[in-house]
Amino acid sequence: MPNDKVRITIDGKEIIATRGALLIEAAREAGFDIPSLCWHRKLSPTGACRLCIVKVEGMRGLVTSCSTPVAEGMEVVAFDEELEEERRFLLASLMSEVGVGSDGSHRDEFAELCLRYGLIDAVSPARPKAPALGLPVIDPAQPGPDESSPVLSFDPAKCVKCFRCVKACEEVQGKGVIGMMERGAESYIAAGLDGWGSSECDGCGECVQLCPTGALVEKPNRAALRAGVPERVRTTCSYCGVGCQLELSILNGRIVRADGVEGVLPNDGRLCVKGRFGYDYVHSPERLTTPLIKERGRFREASWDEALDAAARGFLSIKERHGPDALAGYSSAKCTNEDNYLFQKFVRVAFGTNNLDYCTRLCHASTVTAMLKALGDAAATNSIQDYEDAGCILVTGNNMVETHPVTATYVKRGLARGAKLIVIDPRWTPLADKADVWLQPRLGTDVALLNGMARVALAEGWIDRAFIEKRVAGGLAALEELRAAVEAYTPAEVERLCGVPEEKLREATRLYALFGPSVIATGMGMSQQAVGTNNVFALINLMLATGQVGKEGAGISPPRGQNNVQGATDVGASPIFYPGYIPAADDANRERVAALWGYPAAELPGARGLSTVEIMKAAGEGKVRGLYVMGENPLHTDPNLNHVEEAVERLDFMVVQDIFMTPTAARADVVFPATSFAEKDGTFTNSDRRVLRVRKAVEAPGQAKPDSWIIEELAARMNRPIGPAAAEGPAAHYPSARAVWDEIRRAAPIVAGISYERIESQGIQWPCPDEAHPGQGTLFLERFNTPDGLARITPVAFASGAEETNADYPLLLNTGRILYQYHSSTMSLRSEPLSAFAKDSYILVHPEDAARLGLLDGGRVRVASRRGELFTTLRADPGVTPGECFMPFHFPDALVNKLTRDVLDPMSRIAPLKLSAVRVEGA
Amino acid sequence: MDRRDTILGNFHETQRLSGANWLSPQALKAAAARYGLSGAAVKGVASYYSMLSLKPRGRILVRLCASPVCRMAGSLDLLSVAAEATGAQPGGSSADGAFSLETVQCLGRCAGAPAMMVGEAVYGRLDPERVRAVIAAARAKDAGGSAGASFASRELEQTGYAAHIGPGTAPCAGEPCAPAAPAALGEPSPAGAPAAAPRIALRYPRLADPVSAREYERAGGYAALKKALARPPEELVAEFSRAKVRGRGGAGFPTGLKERAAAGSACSDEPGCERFVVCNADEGEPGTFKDRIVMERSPQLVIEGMIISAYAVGARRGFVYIRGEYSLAIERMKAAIGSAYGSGYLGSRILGSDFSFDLDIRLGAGSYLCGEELTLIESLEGKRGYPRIKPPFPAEAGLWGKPTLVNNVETLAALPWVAEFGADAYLAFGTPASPGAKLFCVSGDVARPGYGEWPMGVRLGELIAAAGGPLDARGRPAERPLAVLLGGAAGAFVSGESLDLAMDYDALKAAGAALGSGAVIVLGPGRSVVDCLESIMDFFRHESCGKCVPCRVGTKRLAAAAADLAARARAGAPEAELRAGLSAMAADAERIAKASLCPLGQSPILSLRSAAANLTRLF
Repeated sequence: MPNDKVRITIDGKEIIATRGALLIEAAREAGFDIPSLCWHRKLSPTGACRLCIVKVEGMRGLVTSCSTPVAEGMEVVAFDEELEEERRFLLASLMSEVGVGSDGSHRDEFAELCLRYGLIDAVSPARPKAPALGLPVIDPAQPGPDESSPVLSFDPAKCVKCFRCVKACEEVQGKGVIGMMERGAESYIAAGLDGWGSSECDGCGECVQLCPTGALVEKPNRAALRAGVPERVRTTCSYCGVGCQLELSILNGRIVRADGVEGVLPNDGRLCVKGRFGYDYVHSPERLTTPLIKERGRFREASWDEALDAAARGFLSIKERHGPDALAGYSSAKCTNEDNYLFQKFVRVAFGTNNLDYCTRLCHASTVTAMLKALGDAAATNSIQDYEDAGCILVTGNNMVETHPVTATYVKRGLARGAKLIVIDPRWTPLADKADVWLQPRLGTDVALLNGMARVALAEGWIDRAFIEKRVAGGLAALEELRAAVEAYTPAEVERLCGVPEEKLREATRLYALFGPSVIATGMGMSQQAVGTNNVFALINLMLATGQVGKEGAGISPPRGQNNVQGATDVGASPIFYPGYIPAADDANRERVAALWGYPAAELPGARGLSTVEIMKAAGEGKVRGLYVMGENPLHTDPNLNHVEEAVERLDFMVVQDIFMTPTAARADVVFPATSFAEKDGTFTNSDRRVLRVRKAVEAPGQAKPDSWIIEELAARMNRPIGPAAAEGPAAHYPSARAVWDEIRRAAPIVAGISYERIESQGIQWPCPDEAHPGQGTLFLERFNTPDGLARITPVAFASGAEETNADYPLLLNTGRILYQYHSSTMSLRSEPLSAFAKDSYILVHPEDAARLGLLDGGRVRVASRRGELFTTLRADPGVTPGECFMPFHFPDALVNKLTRDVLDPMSRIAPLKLSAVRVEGA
Repeated sequence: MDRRDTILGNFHETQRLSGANWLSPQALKAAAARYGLSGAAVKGVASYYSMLSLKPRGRILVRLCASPVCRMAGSLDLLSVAAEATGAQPGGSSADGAFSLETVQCLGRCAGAPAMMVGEAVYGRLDPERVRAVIAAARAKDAGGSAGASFASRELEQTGYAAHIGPGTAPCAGEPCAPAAPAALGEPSPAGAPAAAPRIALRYPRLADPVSAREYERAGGYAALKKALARPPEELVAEFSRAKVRGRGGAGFPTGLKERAAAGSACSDEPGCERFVVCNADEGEPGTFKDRIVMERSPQLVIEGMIISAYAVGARRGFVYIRGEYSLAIERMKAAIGSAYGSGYLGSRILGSDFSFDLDIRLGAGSYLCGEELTLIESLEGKRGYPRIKPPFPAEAGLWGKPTLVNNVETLAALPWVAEFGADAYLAFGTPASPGAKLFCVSGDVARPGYGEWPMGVRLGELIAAAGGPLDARGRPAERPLAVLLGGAAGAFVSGESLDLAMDYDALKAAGAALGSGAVIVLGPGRSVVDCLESIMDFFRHESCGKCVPCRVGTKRLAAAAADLAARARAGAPEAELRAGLSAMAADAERIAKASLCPLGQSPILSLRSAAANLTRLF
């Protein structure tokens, strides 16, 4: 018998169970269907419903199998007359409390058990009151249904008080919004002080997912869900880069519900409000349904043939007149790997240029640059679930509770298990409240702060010499270089530069260095600066000096903002890389890729292409004249928008394919209606390198077509087909998304071993070189991905990344995201539930600054920078540092990027989307 | 952010200062921010405890005891009197905002039944006239501008009402005492050799200043601690084990075993493993008030017991969890802890040793269930009083998941004695399996209700005789009781014929009863056992936490059934019909007990089954 197994007997049958498993789990696995209402795989045992009682030899009385771990030789009676009679009694007891059955839209586990135990005739919406025990005890004073939440309804009359919702909220999501009120027979479930609507509930719906009776249900599509039995399709969430596995319910061709898929990574059933309730944009009446061609400044509807021909003609004429490098393409982090692969292939083959990029340049280009140089790979070194097992978590410039809510659940679960948390953020974020240490440096002073931490670690000897000698290039000499470089960042100096007190700096360093394994969650607070690459170098230096990488559970993870930021670069949507991070400038690489694509190597461009912001600058200078945009919205997301507008204005020709008429699409010459994530097959790759399946759930509206089809058609019409290579030359189309993926596997060795079959139920993390490889959870366990296998310490000096403030522009503006909106909000603003939570822009200003400026909380203000201005609503908020302010960047009613700068970080070419000097005044 | 274990104390204080004895939504919001909790978490805690209110109440709370002994003494009949005097209906407030009228479960004044609490003060031996007088006085005080909360301490002194009826001299001045008993019996001689009958928890006479550590020391206190600190901890644990000291909270679990488990429990990852000792002073069992007496009378003895047990198991931090209704005990224990710190008995390096120990008070807020040790720990942590699933037991994972030793007040009060005089001296008392002495509380239909300390194994009849003998329902001397309820609501009935019963763990178990907390509630001729069951079932309904299905639903059903049965009994239903009803309830209670999560759901069966089995007459 393996050491992790035990032998137990249930009702005379011997079974092998996993040591430490709960008896109920082991029994159910072996086919003994012990009933329970309060137990759930994801929750700690509650022991409230008592239905799972069994008899265990040597234990007194009846014991609950949900709270009893299996032990070698255990002899169990799971079913006998006494137990079944007691269970019937318990169900009858509950029936006297719970009068109403669920409405049929959700599984009703309680009714199923009542049926099984002969207490009712059928599982029907109207569950009868129990006659069994004579004395109905339904409390007439019981509170009525709570309809105050925008996304869910709670009916206490259907509630069996099993605590699953309470624990779902507390233990799974780390929120604790739901509680039990009063006591005894009068006790009832409630949220907040005064119902769901005014509570801290952020609408993740974990409670709905775990409710066994339908007492808690989601609000949208109630009538439809009551009426029909939906078809279910498993896919990957279209919002952030966590890659949550969703099960969509489809009725009459429409998505009517989204549930998390239990038991698979990365989310194990968890979702956030966007994933669970934000799907309705798919059916928005504002979807683009017809190709459009602009004539005399107005769009007219066109056939696909017309539109595709017009687009092909437009691009070809520029290419003929100005050469391939006058063309450029924006690929999309919202599209599948397959779409992105085809797009980059299209730009390289049909345009003949490497002028190819997408929004990653605006998010993590600096992180990528630093990580590539220092570690050899730019993806997350760790798995999302490592946060739960970490000794210490360092969250820097990353408001993950709002931006990656499901990742944050792992962090919160880690904290519940005793992990330490350090938060570095100039602004209050929800995690700051849970932090052991919250460092609040002034905007743009990260290098000074991190150098200061490195100095503390060196001075205190909190470093890992063995690791440095073995795993870092230059060994201890490199450490000495670092020591010299950080010598000036004394705690006093750090306090002067950053405003962080010495004691906190020391404590944060101590926790990070000594309470490992430590894992870093870095974010755009670090990366979106003109010194972004140096910020990340400083962070990596600290990580290398303390040896908090290269072992299980330790490392650095930059969570990706959009659903497929990771995948888009993985498959080559990059001005410098072919799929799999293979440099495009290398001739041998070009040969190999050209052969795969069925084109002569000489026809593939070798020169380094332009990046996102550079493309716009080149357009402004008349160097780029034609632009093909797939699912991007630079007229919202790019820095210094007024300049972007001018640049777009100068373009000769622009084609946009999207699902909505975005500000960018509105400026196009041709618009293609594309499909949403729910209307196509393919894969996304999430932030921890996990390749996940996307499956078609509904038909596209109108004439909308999958991105891949559009790209392939356009290529063919430019006489450069990009389908699979064959003897007679490249075909026009791939037969399926799977066929595209199989070609990606051939192009990119990091995903070679990942087939659709293997990721049918759960995704696999790259690198995965062959089909026998299980995928890699933690990177760099043995070597870094640099040529010599060693990591690099890169000493960096502090220079402020902030724009100069003066009397005219006295405040520093920070930007970021909020939970209820997403990116440029084209999708999320079209979701009713999400907009019910938040739909208007605002600026956070410290109350002292607001008072000094004579501005009132809730008042309209004009915000101006050296580049532009906007109007929004002021919120006085002590969570920002005085002298600094904050705006979410989502809202079209106040385009924050009118204010931001487009100067670039020299190393990564990322723009400083944070840290603009502004003036706030009454409007 | 503050750690949430102070939240109940904070709620008491907030309520007191609110002017309307409540926790307003603003107060809950403030608590949520202070403790870093969600609104529901804070409201869930506040709404769980009976003493806390989420609705504004009067400036003065009048709380009439509705538990079995006070009901026997007619407390519910006084509700209408109190309603008239206060202008508040039960459960409501007076129009002028001066009073709220509520019922409350056992106030621990069973020897002075019926009792009520007005503000912080408790009044016993109530009759309509006295109720009116007390309320009038409170009204006058309220009108005079002093809030109901600041009743003078002289009035707190009125809270005794319990005669010392045990062997030995009357232990107190100012309390109604028993007639002279055999002099000095059991007082330890200066040489330390105990006399024939033990005085253990009551060993010290009432001091002029009961909270003073110095005065306690002059009376001989802390000698045991000095002896204990001179010995290795494991030797002390061995001594307590050898003495067969058993838990006096009701379960009778061997204290030495608990200590050994807490001392030996595998410790957490933190350097210098943290352990806790907790004094269970959440006495709430109807008919029981011994822990209150010990705390009010000898708070330093409890503290000495805490220090010794902490030293024995290696704990550096302890808590006394006292029920919120015990205002005088709370006041005394708080002051005594302050005094002990001042005299070097608490804090770092106690008496120059290497041993340091910090002790704090935490308050309950009206929940009987929190007397159950794992529930107590939940409540001490500032949560709703839900029982935890065991295992793990507190010795392995108790307070904040750390090894924790939870001992009852009386148990702790015995430890200094054993530490001072040794196990052999302790074993000389009581029976071989149940050595030592026990505090008993005799209430109900007896001439002189009170308490005392007797050797284990004392005859039931002797206790009743010491209380002046049985009375009938109208207060006239009776030949023998109708029935005796041993151990309180969670106890069992024995017949009025079984006065020869030896009061120790084993003998009572054999008789289908249990020693429990030491409550002896006498029902005289003319009483109805069914009425008593009605109050017991009502008690459990009120105290069920509601977490597990059988208890939550079952206690409510049993309370309804008992009320129905009592109504039928009053309407003159024949005994056979009542017995049939009793059997049906017992069958129901049996099924409830089988599946219940904690001892509360397993308790109703005890009184029902014993009434059916042990009593030949129900009234």
